[in-house]
Amino acid sequence: MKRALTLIVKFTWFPILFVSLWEVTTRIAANPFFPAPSKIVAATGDVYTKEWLSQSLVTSLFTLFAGYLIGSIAGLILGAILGSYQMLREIFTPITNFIRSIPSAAKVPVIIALFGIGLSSRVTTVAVAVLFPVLLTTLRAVANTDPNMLDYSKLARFGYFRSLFQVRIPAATGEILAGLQASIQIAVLVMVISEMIGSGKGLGAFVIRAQSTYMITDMWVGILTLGIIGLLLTEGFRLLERKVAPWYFTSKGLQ
Amino acid sequence: MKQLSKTQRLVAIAVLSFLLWELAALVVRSNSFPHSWSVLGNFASLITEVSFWKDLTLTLWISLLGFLIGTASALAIGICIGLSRDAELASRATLNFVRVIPSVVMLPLLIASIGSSARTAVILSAFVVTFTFVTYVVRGIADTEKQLIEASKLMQLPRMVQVLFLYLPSTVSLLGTGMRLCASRAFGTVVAAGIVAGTPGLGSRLYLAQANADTNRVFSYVFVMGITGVLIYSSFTIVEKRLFKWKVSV
Repeated sequence: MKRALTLIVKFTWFPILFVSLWEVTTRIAANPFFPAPSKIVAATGDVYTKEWLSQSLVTSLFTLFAGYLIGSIAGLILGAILGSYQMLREIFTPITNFIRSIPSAAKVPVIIALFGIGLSSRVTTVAVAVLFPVLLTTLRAVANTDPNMLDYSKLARFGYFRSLFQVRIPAATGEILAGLQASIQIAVLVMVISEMIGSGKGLGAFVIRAQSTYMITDMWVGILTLGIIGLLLTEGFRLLERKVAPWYFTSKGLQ
Repeated sequence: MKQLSKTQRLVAIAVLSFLLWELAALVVRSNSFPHSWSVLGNFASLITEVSFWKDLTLTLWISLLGFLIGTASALAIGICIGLSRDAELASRATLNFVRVIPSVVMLPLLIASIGSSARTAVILSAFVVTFTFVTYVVRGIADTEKQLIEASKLMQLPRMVQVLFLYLPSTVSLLGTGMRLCASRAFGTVVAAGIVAGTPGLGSRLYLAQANADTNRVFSYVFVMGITGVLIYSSFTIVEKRLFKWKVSV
């Protein structure tokens, strides 16, 4: 009991100190762009009851989930197929690598130029941004299956699908999950940018509009909401990973 | 399965990219999806423009500055945090929270408080690099061989010597990986700042091309960014392979 208590104190003293310092500084030297945290929290309920923020939140979450699902599923399937044939792998790795090297932010104007700024276009942007990193990690992970295992599965006369699902993919689960986790951040980033430029919908647009109308507290509420979404998704995924592939994390000493 | 020779591979890649591109243009069927040859023509004319090279060098300078400031401050913060278990616990929640906030949402705040100049982009990329790199430093220090630490304690080496000759060398290969990631992130962040906030450089040019519905130009800029991204990444990989020959895979 006492140990747990000390641990909690050790974890929380710094954030508490940080927020209190922030509070005190903003009270002493008021800066219009850095409102006191207590003011932000007090304003939160108010900002959330305004229809546009809750609507923005729903729109953003939909864009994020739909885009992420489409992009990661497409990436997983393509990666699994391309990864299991050496010839395809050799040709597609450089192409995928090139597309992945384009900063994800730069993919947003491309999709807007092609499909406009509607909801489906924003979902496409997130899907495209997630697709290539997931494809590449899956492709690599599937390609790196232990050759001995593949020989055994050949000896056991496993067909293509059986060896894909029972040998290659299980062996690659850990790395694939790591790739999926890294893509969450990309998805959030791209969602925000696609909302910020032009669309007028979603949390990104909310933050920009709050800034341009000098509603700085509203802007802070929007920024913190986006941070909390990112945090919840990342931590949630981490829990999921530990359920699905616990051996991967123990073997890497990450647990 | 048959191995492909290098030329065969290059030809196959070129032909396949061309086919995939034209297929995409056919599927999207929007008159805004340009043919591959018209983009190539546009790209050729873009790289003969003086203003383009100015934008490119400016973007790279901003990224480099953000990268250097970010890695240096992350190294300082990371060493302080990494050497003490209590400091590591205390900062963990804060670091995790800041890291998952998408960097571009800070842009409205930066625009409101200091405007949108090259400085804004430097600050944002330095910020992103700091918070990305600090985890690598902390983890690298945590991975230091326990026996070596014990030995250095027995020898009663001063703290400074421990940091310089024990902790830093043992983190070096992990830091290499972190630096490679951070270099790409610095560049990506500068581009994002240009697109969202109009800070000078390639990003704002790309945004303007899109706003003018000049799709050929949009693709040309994206092409340039892809090439730059590959060059940044592979130059780090080459340096890493040279420096850390003992590491089997990079």
